[in-house]
Amino acid sequence: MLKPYKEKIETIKNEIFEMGEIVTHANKVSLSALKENDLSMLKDISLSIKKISAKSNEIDNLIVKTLALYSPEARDLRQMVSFLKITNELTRASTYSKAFIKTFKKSFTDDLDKHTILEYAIPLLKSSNLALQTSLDMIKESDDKVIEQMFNKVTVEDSKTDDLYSMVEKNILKLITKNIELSKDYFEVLSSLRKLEKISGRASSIANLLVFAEVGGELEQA
Amino acid sequence: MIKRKKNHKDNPFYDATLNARHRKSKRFKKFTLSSLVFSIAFLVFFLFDITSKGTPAFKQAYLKVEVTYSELSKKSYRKAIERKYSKIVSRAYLRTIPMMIEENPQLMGQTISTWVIADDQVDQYLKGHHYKLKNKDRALVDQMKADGNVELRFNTIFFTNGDSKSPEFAGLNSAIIGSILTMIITMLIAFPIGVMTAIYLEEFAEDNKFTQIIEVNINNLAAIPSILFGLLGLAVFINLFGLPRSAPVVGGLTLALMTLPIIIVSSRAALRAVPDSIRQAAYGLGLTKIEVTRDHVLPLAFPGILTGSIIGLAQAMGETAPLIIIGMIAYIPDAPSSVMDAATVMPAQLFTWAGMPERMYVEKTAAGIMVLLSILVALNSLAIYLRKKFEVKW
Amino acid sequence: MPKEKENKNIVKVDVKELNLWYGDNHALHNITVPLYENKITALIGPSGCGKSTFLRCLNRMNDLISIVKIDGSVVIDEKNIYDKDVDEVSVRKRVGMVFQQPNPFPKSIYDNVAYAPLKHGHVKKGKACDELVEKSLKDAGLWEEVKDKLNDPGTSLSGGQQQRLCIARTIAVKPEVILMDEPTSALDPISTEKIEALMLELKKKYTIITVTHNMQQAARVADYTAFFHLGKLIEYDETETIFVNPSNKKTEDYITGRFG
Repeated sequence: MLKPYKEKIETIKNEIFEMGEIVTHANKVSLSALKENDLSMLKDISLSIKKISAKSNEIDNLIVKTLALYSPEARDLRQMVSFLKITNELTRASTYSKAFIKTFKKSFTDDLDKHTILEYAIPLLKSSNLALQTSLDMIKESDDKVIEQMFNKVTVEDSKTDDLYSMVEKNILKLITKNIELSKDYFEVLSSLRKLEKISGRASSIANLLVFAEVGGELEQA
Repeated sequence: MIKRKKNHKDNPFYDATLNARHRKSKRFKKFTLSSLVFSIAFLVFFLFDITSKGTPAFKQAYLKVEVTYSELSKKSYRKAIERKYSKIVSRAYLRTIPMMIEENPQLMGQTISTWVIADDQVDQYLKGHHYKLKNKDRALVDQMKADGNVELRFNTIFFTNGDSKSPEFAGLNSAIIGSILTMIITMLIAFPIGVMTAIYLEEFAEDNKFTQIIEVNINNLAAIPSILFGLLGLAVFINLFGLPRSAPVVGGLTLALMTLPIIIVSSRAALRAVPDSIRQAAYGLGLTKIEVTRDHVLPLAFPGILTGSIIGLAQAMGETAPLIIIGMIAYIPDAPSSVMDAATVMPAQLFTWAGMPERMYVEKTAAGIMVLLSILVALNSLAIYLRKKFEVKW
Repeated sequence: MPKEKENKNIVKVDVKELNLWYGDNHALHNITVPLYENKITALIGPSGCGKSTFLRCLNRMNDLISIVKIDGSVVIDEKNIYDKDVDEVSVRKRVGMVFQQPNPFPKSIYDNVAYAPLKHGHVKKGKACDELVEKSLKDAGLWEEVKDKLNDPGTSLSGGQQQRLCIARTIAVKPEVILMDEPTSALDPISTEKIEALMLELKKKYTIITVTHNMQQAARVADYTAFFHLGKLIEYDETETIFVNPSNKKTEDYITGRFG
């Protein structure tokens, strides 16, 4: 394998990892904000969609160049294709993260039953981000067994978020029936929490793609 | 019995036409083989004939008689032996007796019983061939044989003596030396000129009409009847340059002209066989033409050039016609001491002997042919050995 | 042409309006192309498009063929190598060549590398020569494999090793430009990879111009690629551009395998 080729693959891996880190980092700050009940922290999160898109395009073009110049095959080819799709997934995950921050900040007023919401929101965000982080960590792994384990973990966290979301949905609907004039705010909170659940969905896709890349098989949309 | 057609439905490789085609093939093989056998049969017949005729020549009859070395025998050599032996002892040997007495004075006054060379008719009689002896001489020889005074020894005279009027004294020595001298001259001239010409034509000459004409002419020269070279040699070397007739130098020059086309053609083939990639690589390194040709192409072509030259030399060694024209057919009893002396070559010598009346010359000619063939085979084997030795593997 | 304003490269071999005729056959039409220093430039194109012919113009190897006529200029270090006062032999000292079929001389490995430098007078026989041979073989990535058998014939090596020997032989003369005419087409994939890695190393010190039938090789190894077709230069640009966004449709058709 020629050196420039090896270097390009490493660069692409690192760039994707960094792109994902931007999102997981933002999520972590959100989590701290929720835990400490300090929404002002959400204001400082710099999650520029423009920057993420630019990075995504940069990585995509790098992948196109690598495909053109080095004609990768087998695992290398699967990896390149996976990475190409993962940039999209990460872009979507970042939009969800941003939407959550924006909407939650706006709608999480003191009138609402913060305690009940946070009781579910915090584990939801935690699980969701863990799924995303784990799926990112899979990029740096090369052992098939470890990858399978991490894939299972992502799946577990994904289903956890599904459960948590349905529970918080039930509870918030209950709260809405109690205070119908706050329904708008409650719905917005719910919709922002929905975004968190979607993030873990993206993480699941990413994990699926990475299993395809490392282990093999065919591309299957999750 | 009813012949059933073989069921070939289960054999996907069955082809009905193949039997006839294979048969044709076998017939062709037999035909070519029989041609080969035919040629070999001729060769075997020839070798057998020559060997059976020539081997007796390697033995010479000797008689044990009393030789008297005295003043009388010094003056008249015929008196050195008893009268009855005078017809059966070699005349030529008797002629050498006075010289022997001169060289070894202590022989004077002695009568020694020596083994002397027998006359050629006695030799032929003892070998069972046609002879011309009078009855009393024959009886004498039989008597001597019974007494144990007759011996057939290995014929060293054949190799130490030159041609002689007495058949028993005739040998190949001067012809061999003449051949060697002539060949040396031939090689000294033909080899360098031939190889250099080939190098020029192959490496330096441009590919235009002029060089093509030269090429065609050189190829044609190789096919010219050799006797014409003799006429050329006569006209140019002997008449124009005034070189001595029958000298190895003239023979050498004539044969050199004859061998030149062969050397040129085979050297060109050897140079052409060197793959162009070697030259390209050498030029690519910034080497000049002479460095490329001398240090890279020539070493690789050398075995081929050497082989071609030795084959040309072997061919020239057996040439008779051109040398006859320039006079090497003369009677040359003594070996030449320089390239300017009159000499003869082996094929010419054999040609002369073949025309002599005495019966002994028949076996001497055959023996000469055997010697010539052995030398040619040795030269060709040398060519093969040298080629194998210098062949550079790649 | 590559975008001028982004081009910080130095031009090593400047070819301008090069035309070549084989007798009456006009084989190269007005080729103008700047070849950059310390870069690998690949020449690609279908069979018979003139890329090998063009390559051989750069070290005047076409002068060896009598029916060739050349017009135009090839400027190296500000001198046109086709000027009347330039000796073609001296051009080849600065512009070396590696051929498609490995062709080591039928001499020992040592002599293969040492012959030309000795003849050019770069080194004298002895220690200096030994060091030059060792360095050349090291730079060609062959030293470890042959250091114990320098007196064996060059032809006793495997195909890939022979080609590396030819490369060592070429760089022993200390050229500035190395021309490679399909250097790996006669080799197996492993040897090919070794030679490609070697080319990437060599470009740090030399300017390399290579002809290749194998487009993927050009893609892997070359910084710049020139596409030839029927004796004309169709496109010349950075390799990435040629293989991702070729400007000319003919280039694209060739690269996508629609012809040639």
